[in-house]
Amino acid sequence: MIKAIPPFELIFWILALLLLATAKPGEQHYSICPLANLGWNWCPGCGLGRSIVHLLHGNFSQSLRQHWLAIPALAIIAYRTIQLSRQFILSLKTINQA
Amino acid sequence: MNQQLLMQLRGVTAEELQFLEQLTNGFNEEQTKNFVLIYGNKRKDPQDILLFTLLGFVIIAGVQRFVLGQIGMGLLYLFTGGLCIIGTIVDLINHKSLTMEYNRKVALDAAQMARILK
Repeated sequence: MIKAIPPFELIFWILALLLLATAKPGEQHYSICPLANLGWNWCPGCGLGRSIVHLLHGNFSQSLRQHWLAIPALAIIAYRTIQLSRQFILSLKTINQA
Repeated sequence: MNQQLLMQLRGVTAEELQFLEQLTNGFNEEQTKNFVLIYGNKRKDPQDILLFTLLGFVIIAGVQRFVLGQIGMGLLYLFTGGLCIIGTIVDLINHKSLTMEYNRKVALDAAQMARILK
């Protein structure tokens, strides 16, 4: 069985989802968002990260309070992850057949 | 002969070329010409995608995703400034693979069309 490296983007999303799932909801720490660090207050996506953390811990009402688009955002990310995973598994199959 | 026609594609990568040769295996000259025509119009040049991604650092993020037909991801990038720039960086590193993914899909379409138009 030949081992291949999964595509970079797939690793990125899986890592991101893992980090979000294992973060403590409501925890306050430094922000990696450069827009927030620069002091920009009008970013329309502000709060999505925190919101998704709540979602992944089952706190739907808190999630919606942080950002009302978290559910579709998570759905989009999940869809992309599944799409990339399928492609990767398919590519593994064709490599093994060759 | 096949190869010469395929190499005309702008910005074609080695991986792309290999894939295309496999795909157009057994095509006669007429079919290959049609394929290059159809595919050439539909495909994206990796460098264009790179440039679109760079826009994310200066003006607006996610254009590269919209161009590649990934509307959901594009909107996500648009509203989050490219996932707080991190998404834009990921796409920057990944632009060739993103383009390849799109081109693969489009190539299969084009090959099917070229096969029919024998």
